[in-house]
Amino acid sequence: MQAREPATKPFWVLTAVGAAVMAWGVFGLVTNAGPGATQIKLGRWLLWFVAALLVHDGLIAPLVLLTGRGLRRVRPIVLRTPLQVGAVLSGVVTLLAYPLLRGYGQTAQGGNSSILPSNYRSGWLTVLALVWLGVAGVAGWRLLRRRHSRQAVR
Amino acid sequence: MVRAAGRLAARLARWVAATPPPVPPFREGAFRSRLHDEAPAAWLGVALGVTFTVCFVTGLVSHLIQHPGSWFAWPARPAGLYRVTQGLHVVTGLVSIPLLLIKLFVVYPHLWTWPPVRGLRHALDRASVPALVGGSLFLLVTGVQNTMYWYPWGFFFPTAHYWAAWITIGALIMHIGAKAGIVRRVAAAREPRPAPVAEGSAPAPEGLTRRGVLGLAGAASGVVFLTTAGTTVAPLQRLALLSPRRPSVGPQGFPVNQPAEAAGVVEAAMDPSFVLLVEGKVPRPVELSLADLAALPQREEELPISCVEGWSATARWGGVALVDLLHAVGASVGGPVFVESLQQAGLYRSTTLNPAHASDPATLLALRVGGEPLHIDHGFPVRLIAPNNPGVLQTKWLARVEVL
Repeated sequence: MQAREPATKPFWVLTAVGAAVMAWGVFGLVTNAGPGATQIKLGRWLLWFVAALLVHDGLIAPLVLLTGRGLRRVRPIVLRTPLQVGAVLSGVVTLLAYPLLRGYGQTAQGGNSSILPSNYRSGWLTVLALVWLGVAGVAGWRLLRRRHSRQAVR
Repeated sequence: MVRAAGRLAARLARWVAATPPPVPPFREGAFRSRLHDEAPAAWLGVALGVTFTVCFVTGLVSHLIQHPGSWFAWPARPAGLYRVTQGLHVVTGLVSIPLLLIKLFVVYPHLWTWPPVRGLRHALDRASVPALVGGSLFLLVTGVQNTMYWYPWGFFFPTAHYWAAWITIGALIMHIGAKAGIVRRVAAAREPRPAPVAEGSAPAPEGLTRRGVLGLAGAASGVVFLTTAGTTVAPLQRLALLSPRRPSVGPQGFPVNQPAEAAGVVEAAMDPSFVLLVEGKVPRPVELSLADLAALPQREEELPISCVEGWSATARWGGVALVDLLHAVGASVGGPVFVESLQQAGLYRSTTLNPAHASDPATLLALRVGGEPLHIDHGFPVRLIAPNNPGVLQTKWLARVEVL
């Protein structure tokens, strides 16, 4: 799948610069580690870093792949693209809306009515409705066009 | 003996390279979608390179404003500059979410490359990827949580986010070094490589094309932009269905970060014997009551309040210009000024104004907003409001001004 890349000069330069910048980040992380109010609890930092990787690579990506595999079986096939688009947009919107729907910020900052002031349930459902309205429109148009082109062939 | 061991090791390596583990992701043909391709990977990579650079630079600016070194002086003008840089930081981060997720989907099969390492260049290339992906996810997840005032981590967000950004940007530089050749090749190819599209203009029948997935990434970013950017872009406010803040919702028509109750200042702020202490490089320390402050020359300024969490709102502030106060107490203008809150504890209970901010005529000790006395959650009796200053440094419930 991947052609072998030559190890050119820019590769070595950017690798060295990037590694140095990364080392600066690790240095900052370690020197700012500690239990203080503005310090980093290193164990917790690593936990979130590694968990983010594992949850994405082990859970989210396989789920998306399996969903995609399922959508590749949809018939008529002109519906596949609109369904893929609808699924991805719904997934992104839901991911973003989830903490708002659960009201996590409101729980953390009780007594501040200007945090999470909206009705996120209706906002989320509105966005989903608009997405699927668009999907339905495109899907309907594609079905119609398919019927027309079939009749033309006959 | 050593030679034999070497030969054995080489044979072992060849055998490992030729024998992928017999589990699905390593199997030949495990990933059949045509979207797992270098062309969309390259274009999404370019887009993410741009958004991550914007996030990094604007984040660095915000960090330096709050922790200035001797070489860094943030100007007081233009008054809305921080509103733009921090709005860009948050909004660009948000629109990166779909870009990153789709990019990771496209390149996911590389995670299961066999053999895992094909030499030094490949090893270096791969070594940067967990730092890049882990760092990117860490930054986007914690950043979004922070804008939602949701703090589940058990670490201090600014420090953790800041150093994660350096690690991520370093890994990104390494990654650009490793992949620049692919981007160049993809960009140079005018026509998409093997085009299995049938004759005629009919869309490819089997779902999204490689070009289509780029359109989808753009559309997903667009949806995220439209439903969140209204937190700082006023005309989009009504569309901001998924924003944790609305710039027009809060006491006196704009949001609050820390209410007076949470800061523990209600009693001190409402005390009728309140006085503002002005000291430091002054002929003699002065205590000013609310009536004294109201008797000084009053000024009105239209200034934005722009929070690190990305929201911003413009309001009409009224009160005493800091320069007028300095003149009134006989202090000289041109040096830094330190202000401190009634709040007894907390990381943001004081601010040092640099000379540019301290001598700007629009820097106010505000007593009013929109023509009314400040709401206690907005800093009654008197708060600092300076042009081009992050919200966390616009100290509320002022108790003391020290001329440095």
